[in-house]
Parts: sequence; C-alpha cells; structure tokens
Amino acid sequence: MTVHHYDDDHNIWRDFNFKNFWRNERNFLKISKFFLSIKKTGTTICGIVFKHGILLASDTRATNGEIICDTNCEKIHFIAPNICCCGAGTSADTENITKLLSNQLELQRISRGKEIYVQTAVSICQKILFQHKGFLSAALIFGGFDFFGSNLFCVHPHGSSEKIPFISMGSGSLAAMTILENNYQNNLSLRKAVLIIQESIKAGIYSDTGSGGSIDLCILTKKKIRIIRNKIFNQKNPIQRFNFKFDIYKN
Amino acid sequence: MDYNGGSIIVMGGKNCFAIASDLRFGIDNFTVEKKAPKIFKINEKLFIGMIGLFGDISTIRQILDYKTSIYSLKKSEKIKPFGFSNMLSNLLYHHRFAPFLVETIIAGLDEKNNLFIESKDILGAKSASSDYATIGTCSESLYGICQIFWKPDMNGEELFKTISNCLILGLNRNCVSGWGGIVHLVSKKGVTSKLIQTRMD
Repeated sequence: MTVHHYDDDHNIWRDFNFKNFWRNERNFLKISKFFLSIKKTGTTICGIVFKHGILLASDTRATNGEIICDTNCEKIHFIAPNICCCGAGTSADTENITKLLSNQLELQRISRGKEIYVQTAVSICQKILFQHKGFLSAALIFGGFDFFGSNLFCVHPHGSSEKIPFISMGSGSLAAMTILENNYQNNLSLRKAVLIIQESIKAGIYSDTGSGGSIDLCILTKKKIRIIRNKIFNQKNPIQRFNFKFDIYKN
Repeated sequence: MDYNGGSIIVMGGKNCFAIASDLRFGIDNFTVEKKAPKIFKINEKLFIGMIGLFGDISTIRQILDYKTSIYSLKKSEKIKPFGFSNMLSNLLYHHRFAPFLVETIIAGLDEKNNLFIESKDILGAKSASSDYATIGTCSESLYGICQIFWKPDMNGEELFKTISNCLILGLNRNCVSGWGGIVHLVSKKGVTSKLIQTRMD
C-alpha cells in the first residue's frame, strides 16, 4: 500500500495551479479590485558598460496601484558570484524568476566546476518567459563579467533578448534613455559612468510616477561584485511636531 | 477587497510587536458576523493576519496548518518566521494565474527576539518593514495615521495605546470594517489579547 501525501510545491515551474480559475472568472466584477493591488515595481533600471566592467542601477519604489507600498525595496538581485540582475514588472514574477535562475545556475556551476557565462543565465530566462507567452511580466537586465569580458543583456517579458552597451527598462526607461544616449562613450572611467547612471535614474525618478525613492548601485568587475544600497538616500521623514500621549482608553 | 471587508495593523516596538484587526464579517453590504477576527496564531511568537475573500482565508489557513505540522514533525522544532514567510510566498505564487484573493501580513519574533514584519500582495511578493504595516479596506488612510503616531522603541503599554487609537481612528471613516477590534501584544514573555471598542454600526 503506497501512501500519497498532498504536496503541491514541487513542479512549480512545470505546472502552475489553476484550481481557482473558474471561480475567479465567474465573479470577476466583484473581485476586480484585487487585481489592481498586485505589487509592481514599475520602475527605472539602467545598465552601462564601462572600462573595467558593468554598472547597474535602479530606483527603490514599489507601487500597489496608485499607492506606494514600499519606499525602499531591492530591485538588484544576486544571481551568481559574477552575475547580477535588475528586475522591473510584477514584483512576484521578477523575484521568483531570479530565485529559480540562481538555483539552477548554482547546480550547473557545481557540476561544471567553472564560473557560468552570462549568456547561460539569459538563455534559461528567455526559455521560461517565452513558454509563458508574456504573461509573466518580468523585464530584466543581466550584467556580469565572465571569460568573454563584460556582458550586458536585457530580456523583455515576451522572451526576446539583446546584448547592448547601455540599456534602460521599466516605466521610466524613456526618460533614463535620453541621458544615456546623450552621454555614453566607449571606455568610460568608473567615476564618469557612476555620474551618468545616477543622472539617468534621477531623470526617471523625476519624470515618472512609478519610480522614486533612493538609488541603488551595483558595480561588477573582474574581481568582485559590490552592491551599494541607497547610494543617494532620499527619505525625509516628516518632522514629528506632534507628540501625542494617549490617556488610558476605557474599554 | 470590500466584498468581505476588514483591516489589519501591525506595529513594531522594542523586542515586541502588536497586531490588531477589526471584527466585522460581511457579504457586500450586509453584516453577517460581528465577532470574526482575522488574525491567526501559528505558534507563540508568530502571527498571521489575512484580508480578502473569506473562503480563501479558510483554505489557506488549512493548508498552512498542514504544512507547519509536517514541518514540525520532520524537523522536531517549530517553524521560524523567515521560513514560514517563504512557504506562504511559494504557496501564493503557485497560483499565479488564478490567485487566492487574499492579502497577508506576517508578524513574528525570531529566536533572538528580533522583529519580523512582512506584508504580501495576492501573488506573494514580499514587503519587509521594520516599523508598521497595514492591509485591508482602509489601509491607505491607516498608512497616514500610523506614520504620525508611531515612534521607535516603544514598550508594550505605549504600543498598545498607539495601535488601538490608530485602529479606532481608521475604522471611524470606513463602512466595511468595524464592529470592534482585537489587539494581540506579543513579546518574549508571552501574548496578551484585548478587545477594544469602536463604532458599532
């Protein structure tokens, strides 16, 4: 006699669970408000190649419809010791895809015994996103330094990818791209590259409502990764002019 | 969200936290139950609050009971807040295209009595915070109220006063939440629960 126990956490990527589908369809009018409340990192993320490696930057706002639900969230994810990734789009999707990628790449790294190429990460990511036909709305920027040098890739939600020297994605990408196009040159020094990328994220923060908060930076070079959280910190707490002391409230 | 109604606040203090919810359960505009809290205890230092469709709340509660029991049987220890939060996120994301219509808040103290407050949306994306968190129908106004009254490093009594007053103020202007509130104050010494009175209409 075999004992089966109900455990649906395996095969999370081979089959999502659609049990609630008909229930949600039939009651859509009553529950449509829920779908507005999906946490999005409608954001500005940028990547740029400089002389010694790659620079990635992002803002730190996460929105829930029109309300900001997190003023200081992390959009730069660690994937491998030489690869980092920025994610824009639905927050749950970007977090789960980057988790899955880092797990699979760690297994590959152990079995091959050498460091992974950024192209591998991008190909795995593309395959998953294309399988789901764009319904997993995750736009990602991969940056890393491997045997072939500095690599900067971007992946769009439907599964297309590009390898380019500078890129910006997210809702504030148009504003950020203007600064990058204007100021990019080959063989930038680290200082100039940091200035350019800070200006482009600032442009995204000022002109786009979905981006705001502080700026996070990630510097990827041949020897190491350095993630600087809140390089430009922008969080003014309101001055506590009121010092309320509540009396004992009678129940 | 306002089909069944409800709101929850979590506030963190010095090695303690307080979690409060309202007590109304309704179907659209009709109030069915006036003593339905939405906070559930997992173990002495870990609480979860859920707002949304009540059927989904019951389903998720049963699934979580099952999974935490299996965890404690396999590992001979109670589940910790970080692991529990990951488990819930995976459960919610597994239903990514037909989601459980529930927003959740997890509040707990880990082994070293450090605070752990995380709120999630319907797909399981996490938002950690160190001070306060709110979900529910009046969460937008509660964000503003909590920002004014919250101070860092409050002890148990002050925390209780602050959180009950914030809840009363928030529920005052909201039709779909109300009918009283319940506050659980959790510290390393234990849990104390009190009922508070709000607008009963």
